[in-house]
Amino acid sequence: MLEAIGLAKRFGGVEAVVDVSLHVAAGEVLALIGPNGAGKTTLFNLLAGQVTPDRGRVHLAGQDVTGWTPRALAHHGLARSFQIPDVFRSMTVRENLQVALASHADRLWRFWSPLATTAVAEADCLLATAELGHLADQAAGVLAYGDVKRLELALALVGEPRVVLLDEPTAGTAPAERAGLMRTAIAAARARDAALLFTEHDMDVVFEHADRVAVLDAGRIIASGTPEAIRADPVVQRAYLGHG
Amino acid sequence: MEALVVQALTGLASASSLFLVASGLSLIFGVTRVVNFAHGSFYMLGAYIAVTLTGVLPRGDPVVWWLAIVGASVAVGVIGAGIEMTVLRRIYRAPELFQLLATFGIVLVIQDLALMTWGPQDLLGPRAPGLRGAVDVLGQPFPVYDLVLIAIGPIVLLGLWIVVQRTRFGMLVRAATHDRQMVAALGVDQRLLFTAVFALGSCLAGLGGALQLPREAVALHMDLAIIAEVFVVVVVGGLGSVPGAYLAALLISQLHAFGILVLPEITLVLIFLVMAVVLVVKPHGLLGRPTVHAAAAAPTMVLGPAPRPLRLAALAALGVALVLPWLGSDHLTVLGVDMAVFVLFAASLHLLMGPGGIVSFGHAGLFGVGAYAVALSVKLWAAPMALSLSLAPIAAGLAGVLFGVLCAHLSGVYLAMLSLAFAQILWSTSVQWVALTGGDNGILGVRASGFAPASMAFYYLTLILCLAATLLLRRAILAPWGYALRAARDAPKRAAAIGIPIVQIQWAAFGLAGLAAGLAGGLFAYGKGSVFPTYLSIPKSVDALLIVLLGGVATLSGPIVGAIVFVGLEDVLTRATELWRLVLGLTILALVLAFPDGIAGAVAKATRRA
Ligand SMILES: Nc1ncnc2c1ncn2[C@@H]1O[C@H](COP(=O)(O)OP(=O)(O)OP(=O)(O)O)[C@@H](O)[C@H]1O
Ligand SMILES: [Mg+2]
Repeated sequence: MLEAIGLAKRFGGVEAVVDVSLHVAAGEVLALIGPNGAGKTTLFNLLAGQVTPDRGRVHLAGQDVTGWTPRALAHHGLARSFQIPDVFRSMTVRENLQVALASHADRLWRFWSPLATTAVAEADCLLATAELGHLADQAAGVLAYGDVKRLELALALVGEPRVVLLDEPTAGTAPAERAGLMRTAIAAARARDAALLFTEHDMDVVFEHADRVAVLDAGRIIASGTPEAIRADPVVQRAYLGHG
Repeated sequence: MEALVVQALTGLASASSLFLVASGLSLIFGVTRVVNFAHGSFYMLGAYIAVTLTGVLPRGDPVVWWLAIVGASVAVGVIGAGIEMTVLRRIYRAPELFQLLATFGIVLVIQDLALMTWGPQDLLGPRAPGLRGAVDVLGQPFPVYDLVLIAIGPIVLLGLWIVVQRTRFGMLVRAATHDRQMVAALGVDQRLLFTAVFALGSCLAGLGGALQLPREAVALHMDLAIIAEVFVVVVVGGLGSVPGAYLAALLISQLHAFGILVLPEITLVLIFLVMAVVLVVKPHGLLGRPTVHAAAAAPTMVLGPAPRPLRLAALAALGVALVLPWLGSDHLTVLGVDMAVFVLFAASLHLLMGPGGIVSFGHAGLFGVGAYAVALSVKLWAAPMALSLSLAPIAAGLAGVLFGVLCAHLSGVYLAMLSLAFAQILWSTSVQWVALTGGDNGILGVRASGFAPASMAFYYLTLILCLAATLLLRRAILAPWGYALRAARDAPKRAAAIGIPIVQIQWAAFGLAGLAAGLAGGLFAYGKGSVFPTYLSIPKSVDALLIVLLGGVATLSGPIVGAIVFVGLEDVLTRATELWRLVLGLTILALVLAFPDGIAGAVAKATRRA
């Protein structure tokens, strides 16, 4: 569903991503792990159009989408969350979803009918999925951190995406909350038959939930395979797991 | 050919003055991050003080004359330092908009103080002794003094370059310009550095003004006349870059010099276009570098229902508005028309500033386009009211979209400065294109039969149109489009990632704001029966900003209450005192110093505490 071929990006002297190739199939869950600064977020930005690659191509649903804007990619079925939560703080939680839903349904150019009556049912359905129903009328700017992460997740599920990229969906939340949050995300992606790619620092979460794991170090993919194979891989242990 | 060379030389001479003023502004911005509106006032003060000094000192001696010029420049430097220490120092952490407003307050205060000191009439200073004649350039006479000016530009540039590149002071200036944190790390007394830079920048502005003495009469409008041009130069050159300022000053002055030859009315438009093109290609100007910004404050502003007292006030105002003309006072009826017009004008700016998060300092430009559309259609085609009142919003809406297309991609300060320059260019056009606009005399006789300015019919027409348009804006803000606009303000990256066409949504905001401001302007033209360039002027734009800030950005009824209070206060003030600029300026300063977080911020804090 999503395929990267030889992606590379350099920032000044830093080679953030070097010749990365990977693919995620529909319904598959791929975890991307690697130490801080390995280039995970940069790779996400390359895939979702926030950053243009120096080299390499991106294919989405069989189409070459290299260099597309984030907006075009969103309408082509790519959704993402951000590592540093970036929600619409001046709106309520429900309004966050309503405006996203309106955008996906091409209903933004309406100047008359109020947003309050737009896509209420769909919004509430997504809120229920992300277990945010009780906070629907809360201002997004005053949410607890874990709830912001849930809102990020809900926003990434808007519009029946084909591919969902989640950048550290559980970072900063309480350990007890993590497994549940991840399970919610994966169940939602599977229910939509979407390809899910996520990054995560908590190894328990990764090994429990991923179908496959790819390991990024200093911008390169140094290993990829099933969770068992990765856990056993000596290269990975030396480069990464050894530190943690 | 010869004429062209002389024209180019004239352009070079003008470039020097422009560069002096712009380099000062650029230095000040680079270090303090304050866009100093009052910089034009320093330029004007330099000229006035030079007139006084050359007047009291013995005449005819070149050394004394130059001493007077330098003395004026130093005096302005001292004044600048004083202002920095009393006002600006307190607002370095305030939002950009408040800093701009505060420096505009200083502009107003200096205007009235200058009026009190030097009187309303234009003053002529003595010409430079020994440099009065003209030399022969390719058979054409060229003033010797202009040759001296041509040399002064590069000399000052070189001097500044040496100071900035080779001295410890310069090292600190560079450090502060490129990375704020670094200065703190260097263990320098920041306050001293800021004051010194402000003094130097003001000194340069004063010098620029003093040097104009032999070239033009000294007048009270010099401050705002130069500031827009200086903004253009600084933006084109790159904020914080002194060589960039020189390059841009050359470019703009040459455009001026040759534009005048070809098509005087088009010159200003040409300059604006050049600026727009430069900023599309290089958003940080010719030689500017992206600066390391302090992390932008998170947009915590929630657009919600207004607090109860504010809503009640708005309802009460509506009640009074409905019966106003029956009170039998023409003055009150006319005042009511002004209030209705300003409610719409402020609401249109609020659309950009509140939901859009776009601070325009040139909103009067759109208002004025509406007013002139009405006046011109009446004057040229004797258009009936229905036609002219439809043309006004259309013309201003188109101007708004054009402006949005050129500016929407720019960030905070750049957009504020460009919007100001845009309005100022429209203003200059209205002053200079005398054949069409009547220049400063304006266009009189903007009337429609049955709708005399103080008549009940006109009052209700205005009230209905302004109310309806304001309610439509409100409707749009609460519709999906308005939320998309807010989404782009709250979290642009997220907005793009969910597929919102940010730029187009913002263009539409400029267009809608233009429609509304244009209608307000058109009604204002009929209300006054005439239009003047002041409708497009900077003070009018600032009026709108003040209203929106007074009422608070965060609510929809804020600008409505703000407009009514403001127009009422202004009416009382202008009738009570000649020195209303001074009073208004001091009021702005007091407000900004009392509420450095913004008035809305203060109210939010207070209500949260309560
Ligand atoms: N916009 C940028 N400009 C310059 N350098 C950047 C930029 N974005 C990322 N980098 C650099 O690229 C490298 C990879 O950063 P990236 O954020 O992709 O890592 P990461 O794997 O997501 O780390 P973390 O686990 O901390 O989130 C880092 O050295 C970072 O400093
Ligand atoms: Mg990251």
